[in-house]
Amino acid sequence: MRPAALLPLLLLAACLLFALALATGTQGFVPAAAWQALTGAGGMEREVVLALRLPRALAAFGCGALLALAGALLQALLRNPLADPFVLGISGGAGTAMLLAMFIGLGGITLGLAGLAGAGLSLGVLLLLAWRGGLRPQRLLLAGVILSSAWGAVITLLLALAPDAPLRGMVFWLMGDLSGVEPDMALLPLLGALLALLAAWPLARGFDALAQGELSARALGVPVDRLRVVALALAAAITTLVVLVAGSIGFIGLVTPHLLRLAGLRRHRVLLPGCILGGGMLLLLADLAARALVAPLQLPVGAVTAALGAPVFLWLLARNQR
Amino acid sequence: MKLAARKLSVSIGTVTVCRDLDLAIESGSCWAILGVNGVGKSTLLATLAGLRTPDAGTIAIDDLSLDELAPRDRARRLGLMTQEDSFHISDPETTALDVALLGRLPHLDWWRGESAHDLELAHTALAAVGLSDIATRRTTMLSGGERRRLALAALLAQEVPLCLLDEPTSHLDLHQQIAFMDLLIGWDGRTLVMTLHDVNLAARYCTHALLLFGDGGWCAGPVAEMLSAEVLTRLYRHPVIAVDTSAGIAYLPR
Repeated sequence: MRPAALLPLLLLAACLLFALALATGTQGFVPAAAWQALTGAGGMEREVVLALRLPRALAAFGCGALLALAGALLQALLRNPLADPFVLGISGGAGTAMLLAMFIGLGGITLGLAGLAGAGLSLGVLLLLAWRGGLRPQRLLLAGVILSSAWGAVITLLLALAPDAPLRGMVFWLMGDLSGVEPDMALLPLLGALLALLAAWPLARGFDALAQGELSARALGVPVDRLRVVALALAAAITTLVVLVAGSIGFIGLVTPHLLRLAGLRRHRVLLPGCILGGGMLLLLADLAARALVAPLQLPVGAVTAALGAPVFLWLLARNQR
Repeated sequence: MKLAARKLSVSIGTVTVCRDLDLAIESGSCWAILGVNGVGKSTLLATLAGLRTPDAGTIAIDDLSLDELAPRDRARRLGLMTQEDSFHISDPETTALDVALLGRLPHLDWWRGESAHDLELAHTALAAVGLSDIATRRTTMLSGGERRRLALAALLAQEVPLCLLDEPTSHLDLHQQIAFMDLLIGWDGRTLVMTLHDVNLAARYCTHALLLFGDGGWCAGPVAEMLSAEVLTRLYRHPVIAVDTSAGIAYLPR
């Protein structure tokens, strides 16, 4: 089968999963009620499906798509299979700023602005350290790793000092949580993911070539410097958007591109669209598990992705050492 | 297609690779760039490929300055086989065919997929280097020699009249070096420029040689005029003798 033929299959699977997510609630899997709600009948159930499950499912799918896309872009940019959206410390900067804002009791739009400022600050530091007449991936990776751990230290400090009242919210948000997504923000991640895909897709073959080495890619006529700037800019914007909407959800960005490559979507022309579908599905599935596993209690989705993602990644690693 | 350098000065770090280099590489000729390790052979090759800005001087393909060519246009005329091949590290699922197909990149528009013709060229290139059987194998599973041949397949698929090769025979054992060079020389009408460690391969296969002495000094010309025990002794800073054998003159370190 041609790799591109996998994409329609993924799309079909995504639609089915979406239906499953809409039909699953605290009463378990009730497709008839969800169908009635969507087609106009049903009072209370309609309210639940349209106002609660639909926005949450959309946000989950969109955030998963964004994370996987950022992961694929960063793995290509840094030429490192371990790269994920959180490796550069951009999310750490956004997260720290937002926690700080929560800490002093801010909320709503100011929280978002704080996140943007934190991400911008991180990006500035990265560029300062990694720009030497062009973006230097090795320097970028090292600077990112250090920056991440520095933000991690600040976050730990904030959690240690935080009063009890906002602490639970802060921890949930840190682990990545989709329960607090505003309905009018729900479509934003998916739209962002599609826009980012449009921007990255024309450069897809360049990313393939870059895996061969910088010199080889340039010899093939690939504008390597431009490619790197676009990849970093997109990854930074994507990561910030996800952190603003849902916090730090790990493993989706790391694992999805590897799973898709394993399934045959090796080249970026099919890998990048595949990330939208695959990442979306994985996070939707994880969120479904987060709200169904111990219903009526809810887990932070980041805990589920980590619990699922870590064994998957270890399996991938073991497989590649053969 | 002809490659010409005029008054070319190249340096890297504190090393002066060449000063005021004048070179006329005629269509169909085969050039070897020789010199000791660290003299800047690869740096000069990358400069000739238009991937590095020289300190001074110009490089032209058929009287067209390299600076004026867009990267894609350049990549349709001139290809470079580098020493690095790191695809197996950053993307372990890449197959040999994927790499060969990359050679088609300068000929493709970004919105268009590879045509049947592109696929056929990639398969033909893999067959030419004897890798047909392992087209779908992951590059992590290839040996060092197979990787060199795969890089050559990508260069073949690129269909460029001018080929620059950086240490094409490294990682190859004796019979594969000969097979590899036979294959290269067998390409019709292509102009070849390669850096080589093995002066005897240069003597056997190349029409011309460029010698880099490490202080910016250079000399260039037909192999027969360039290679002698005396010149090589100076080049490698070690006594070299010429031995007449049944396979031609061999240069050996004393």
